Amino acid sequence: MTTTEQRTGLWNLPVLRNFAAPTEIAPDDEAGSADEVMPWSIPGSRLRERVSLARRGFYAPALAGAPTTTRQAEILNTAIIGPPTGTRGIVNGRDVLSRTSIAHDPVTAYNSTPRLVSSPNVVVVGDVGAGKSAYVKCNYVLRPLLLAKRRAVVFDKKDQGGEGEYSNVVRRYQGEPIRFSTDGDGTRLNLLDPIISRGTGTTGQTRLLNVVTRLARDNHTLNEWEEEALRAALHTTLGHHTDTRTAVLADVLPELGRIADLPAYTDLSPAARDALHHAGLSVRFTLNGLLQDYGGLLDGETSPEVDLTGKLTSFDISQLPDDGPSVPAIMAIGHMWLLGRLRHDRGWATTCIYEEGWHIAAGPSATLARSNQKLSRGLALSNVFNFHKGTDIPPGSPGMAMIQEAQTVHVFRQSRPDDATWCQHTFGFAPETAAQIETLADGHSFFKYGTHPETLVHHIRSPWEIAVTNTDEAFHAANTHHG
Amino acid sequence: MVQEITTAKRGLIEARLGEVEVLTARQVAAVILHQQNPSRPIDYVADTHPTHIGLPSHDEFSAHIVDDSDPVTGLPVQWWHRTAAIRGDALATGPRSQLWMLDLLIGTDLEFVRSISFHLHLVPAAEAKNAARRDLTRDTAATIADVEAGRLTNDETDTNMTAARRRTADLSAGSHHHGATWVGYVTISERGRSGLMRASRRLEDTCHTGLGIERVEWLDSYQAAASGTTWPLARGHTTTSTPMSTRFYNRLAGRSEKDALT
Repeated sequence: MTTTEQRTGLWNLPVLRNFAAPTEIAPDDEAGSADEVMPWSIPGSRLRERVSLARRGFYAPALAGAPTTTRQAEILNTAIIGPPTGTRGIVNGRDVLSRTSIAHDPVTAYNSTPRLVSSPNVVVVGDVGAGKSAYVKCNYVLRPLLLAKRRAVVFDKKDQGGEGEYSNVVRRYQGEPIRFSTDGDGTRLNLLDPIISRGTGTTGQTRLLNVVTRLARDNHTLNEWEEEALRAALHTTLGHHTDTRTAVLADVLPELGRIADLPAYTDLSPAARDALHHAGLSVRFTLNGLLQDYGGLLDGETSPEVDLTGKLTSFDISQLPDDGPSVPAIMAIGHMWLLGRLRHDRGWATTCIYEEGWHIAAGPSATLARSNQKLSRGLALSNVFNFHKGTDIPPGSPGMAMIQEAQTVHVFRQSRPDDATWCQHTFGFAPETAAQIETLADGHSFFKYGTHPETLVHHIRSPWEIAVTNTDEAFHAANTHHG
Repeated sequence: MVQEITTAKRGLIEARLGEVEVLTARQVAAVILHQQNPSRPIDYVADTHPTHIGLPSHDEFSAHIVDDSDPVTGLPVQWWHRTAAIRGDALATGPRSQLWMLDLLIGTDLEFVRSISFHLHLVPAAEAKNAARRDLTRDTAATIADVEAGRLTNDETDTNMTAARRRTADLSAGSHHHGATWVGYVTISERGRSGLMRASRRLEDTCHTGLGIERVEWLDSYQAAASGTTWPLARGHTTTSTPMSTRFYNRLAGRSEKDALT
């Protein structure tokens, strides 16, 4: 900067210069571009005239700090109650600590750069009545469905007035739930459906058949003879039905008795062929028993109504018996069918919700689901496993690995200390959360995504959502009736 | 600048401080305007300019009073602010967890608007260690003098000694920790004189019972200037002066600005 005029000699005298009028200061033309702020362009007079006074705190507070170290100063960080998530995704609820909204959606988080989660799978754990089902219904079905190119598939296990709890929601989306029942008039799913082999090939189909047989045997594994017999029978059956009608499970049964005579086994000793024949028969009897018990479910071709109808599809398995292999079998077949179906319907992100997901995440089907993880990601499928407690899942099993791989976790109340501690260990929560998990209020949950620390979330629903997601209708009806 | 911002952002994300969003200059101006007139939404950037961050105000002895209007309704509003300092020696000694400030940050019994800021100034480990050792020596000497003179040792000396000893331990070689100095400020904002009086009492109360802050130091007589200490600006903390010996040794070792590569 330059002064535009020099002071005259008189005003340079020692005392008089204090009373001289200030000289006008003009900015240099070349200094600073148009968007740079120069001190002299700011209106008003200069407030802190004397640097020495300013340093001593005469004009504004300037206090000397208290000595500490960077280790101890950690507690001065006020940002620990900052919002735990950003605003991208779907609003899930409110953070209890900072009272800011929690926004998360596994699909959005997986698609964002940099990736916030490495797996789009979700695990929801909690006691019955802790608000788990309402949470999943709102945050994984109703709210994401408002977004473009999003759809949901639900394995609906909870009974509500003679049908699955999602039935009403499906009807709001102009669909009809796909009902499964053991009385023979429900929907059928074909184990050998060509859609399944389209997704995962004959290998996937063999594996599925293997898993269903295991389920029918109360989770006893097949030995190598039986596996060989099953594989050979499946190949023969599929070879016979290439151009005529679609093969069904009943077509495999006679083949299981005949495999020992196949040309491939002519080099076996008579004793070995005998053993193979026995193995084939033993699988045949198991599957025969399954078809006898659940003929209406698995016997025959897949019913025409089994399809992804719109934004929301529900496999209503609420009327199937809780014990026995029907629920896990339908879940496993449905899962494989979905993978095959999605292969021809790209461009959508699909959320698949497994109510009582214990069956798919922890039973024999876990191997199946785990081996398809990569394919699931490729098909933009996000699996939501919803279950009551995790202590039943054996450590080191494929199911456990799958649960630990899930990058989004919601933990609701677990009143048993064992279950609460299991959650704290498995999901890597802070030690003190175990006690908190035991006493969480309804609708409150611990939420963790990626490697971020867990946060306590309060789920907030609109009156419309409360009306849609209410699952206590039966008791309310009884109450009104008596009142 | 771009590199600095990216580095700072990455550092904050790595420290797991939740979702980190970088504010633009105009957004910072909007935050500062919101702090002066809380009727303005915090993200109301429509009419802001990075250089216009002040609102017309006048002072009373213990309040900074801002007259402005609510941009949503267009009605005139008046906000009263008062700022207090939280200094290290006002803090009761005792172990503190990360959540010790919770009552002040989200306390349900505090209904008024409040802004809290902590200013940290980093001190190189070697200097901080010397200071800690000096403090420790002085306090130990005082204790020994007390014992020799047959007096009861002073409580405060004991506490200070523990603090100095802990600092020395934190700064032990290879710990990767550095020294720091800190000072905290809290500004409360209310709609009028009586509201501000009530809020002041509530704040003192909460700080005393919930946080273990024995006294808050109201920065009366220059409240308008004190308001700036809780804005996102570095204001209100003097740097520690480098000791004479350090300056001398630095000079000897050639560690002065004159010798630096620029």
